[in-house]
Parts: sequence; structure tokens; C-alpha cells
Amino acid sequence: MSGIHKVHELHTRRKGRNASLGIVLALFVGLIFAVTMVKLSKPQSVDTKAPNYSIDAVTE
Amino acid sequence: MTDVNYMAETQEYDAEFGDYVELLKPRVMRLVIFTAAVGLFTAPVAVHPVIAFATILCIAIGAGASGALNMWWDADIDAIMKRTANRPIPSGRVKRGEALSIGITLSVMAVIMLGLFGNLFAAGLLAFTIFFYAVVYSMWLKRSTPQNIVIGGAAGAFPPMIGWAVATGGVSIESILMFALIFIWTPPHFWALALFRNEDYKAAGIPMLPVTSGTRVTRRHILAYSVLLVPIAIAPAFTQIGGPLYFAVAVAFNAVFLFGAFRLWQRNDDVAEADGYRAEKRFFMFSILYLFVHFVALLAEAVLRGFDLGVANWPAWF
Repeated sequence: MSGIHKVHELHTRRKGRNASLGIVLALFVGLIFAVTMVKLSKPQSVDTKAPNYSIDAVTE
Repeated sequence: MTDVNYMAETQEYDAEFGDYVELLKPRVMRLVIFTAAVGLFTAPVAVHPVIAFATILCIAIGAGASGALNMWWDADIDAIMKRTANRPIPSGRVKRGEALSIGITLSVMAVIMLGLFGNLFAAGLLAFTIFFYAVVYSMWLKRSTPQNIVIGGAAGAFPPMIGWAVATGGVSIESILMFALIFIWTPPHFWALALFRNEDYKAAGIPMLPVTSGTRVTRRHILAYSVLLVPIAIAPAFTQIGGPLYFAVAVAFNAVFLFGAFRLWQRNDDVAEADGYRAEKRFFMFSILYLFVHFVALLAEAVLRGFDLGVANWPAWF
């Protein structure tokens, strides 16, 4: 019987491609996270409104 | 679109992930990654390894995106030439529209991310590089003038300058010389290829120098540019990023390069055809090694300086 199946043949055919794209996107998220950590860690800002504000920077 | 059309379309060949990667010209990307990394690591400002990795990735993706735009635009001539007939679009694995979408999306993403990860100046340079390769070279120069690769070579020369800009936020004599090295190296490199791929370019109607002016003029041009390349390749030795190691490598490799160019100038089509363009092919292959070794030497100088092993009194004239 034809009609809408839950898992279309297209999904099986494009499984590898979609999985690869998923990995790339996950790595991209990881990269953004790593860069954010580096950018926020140093140097600390004395500006209280800055995202990397640190009380240590004020007292140094 | 009706359901019937949709079902029919899904029966066509689906591009694999690797086909899309191929669209980004991975071999060109490797050279871009390497030269951009050298530009970044030889700069006098230290960059955090994570930022260095992220920015070099952006430069590589930007270069790949411009490659996809080039394939989108040149699909018709790529199908004619043997060297490019198996590329994703002419071989029917990827649709032209897909290449255009990927090219534009990745270009925009790479420029924005480089602006966020690095700085706006580096992002602006990357945007200009993509524009230069996709529009100035591919759409305008490639099919209109035999000077196509001379001017278009600038696109391939920008990556070390962008790497340097990521670290320093600007341009200096060192990054200009790295740019000039690739820029002046590009014509003899591609003209050597054009000599033994002349029929391909002729069939596709691309006005490469051997097609428009003949191989005699091309051989003369290869020699002239190789002579011009010598001082440009040696000059970085006498800047902040140079040193005796780079100087020795540059002198040795330029001597061989110049000798190779001289040999090509002495030869004619009859001799070349008789031995299957052996000297031309060897010169082309050596030119790849030539550029690679120059940048390796610059990197080696940076490593030596990092360990305080550089020569203290080495003259930095520029």
C-alpha cells in the first residue's frame, strides 16, 4: 500500500549524509563553546557590564 | 510541486556528504590552511591555540566556499575539460543550485565567524578574497583575458595575509612579502600546467596564454616571472620573520626553479611533445614543492625564535 510511511525510503538513503551533517554541526557547537571559554577567561574586564567582568581584575 | 513530482525527484542520485566536501576543493583548502597558519604563527603577536584553530578553520571554509562558487559558475567549461570533468557538478552528483547555496551560505558564515573569533579587519580581508576569486577571477577575468591567472592569483595569495591579520589586526611588510611570493609564483605555476593541458583550455575556450599567444610567448613569460620571483622570495629572509635557514632554502630552491624555467624557455613544442612534456610536468610539480618549502622554512624560523635559537645579529633590512 502506498502512502505516507513513518520512515520513508528517502530517510534511509540519506542516513549517511544526515549523520555526517549532524557531526559537523555538533563540532561547530563545540568550537563556539571552546572559543567562548577562551574569550571569556582572559583578560578579565573591570567593566561591571562586560560579560567577562571579574572582581579580581578590579582588585589587581 | 505535487506529491507525484516530489516522489519522482527523490528517485534521482542523492549527493553523498563527500560530494559536497569535494565542492570545496579540499586540495586547494590544504594549501590555504597551511599558508594561513604560517602567516598566523610567524606573526609577532601570540594567539591562543583555540583561537588560532578556529580562525584558520574560518579562512579554510571561506576559501572552500569560493571554490564552490567557482564550480557553480564554471560548470559548463568544467564539463569540457578532462581535468575537471569529474567534478561534482559536471559529473551530475551535485546540482548547480546546491553549489551556489552552499557557496553563499559558507562564505557568509566564514566571514561572520572570523569577525567574531578574530577581528573585523581579518574578516574584511577574507570577504574581499572570496569576492575576488568568485567574481573578479571566475566571472570576469577567467574567460576574458590571458592575464586571468596573473591578476586572479591574488585570491590564492591572501590567506597568509589574513592569518597575519588575525594575530596583528593589520598589514605589514612581512605579510605583504608572503602575499607577493604566492602572487608572483602563481603565473609560472599555472602556465607550466597550461603548456601540457593546452588542448583542454583550447576546447573550453579559456584564453590562457598558450591559447592566445602561443607556447613560445608562454615559455618566455614563465622565465620572466621566475626571474622576478627570485628577489621577492629571498626578501623575507631579511625581515623580522626571516633568518639564515630561510635564506639558504630560498637561495637553493630559487636556483633550481630558475634553472627549470630556463630549460622550459630553451625547449619548443616538438621537443616537448616528443618526451610527453616531461620537463613542463616536472617544473609544475617542483613549483608546488617550491612554495611549500618556502613556507615550511618561515615556520621553522618562527619555531627557532620561539626556542631562542634564532641568530641574534641577523640583518632585518625591511
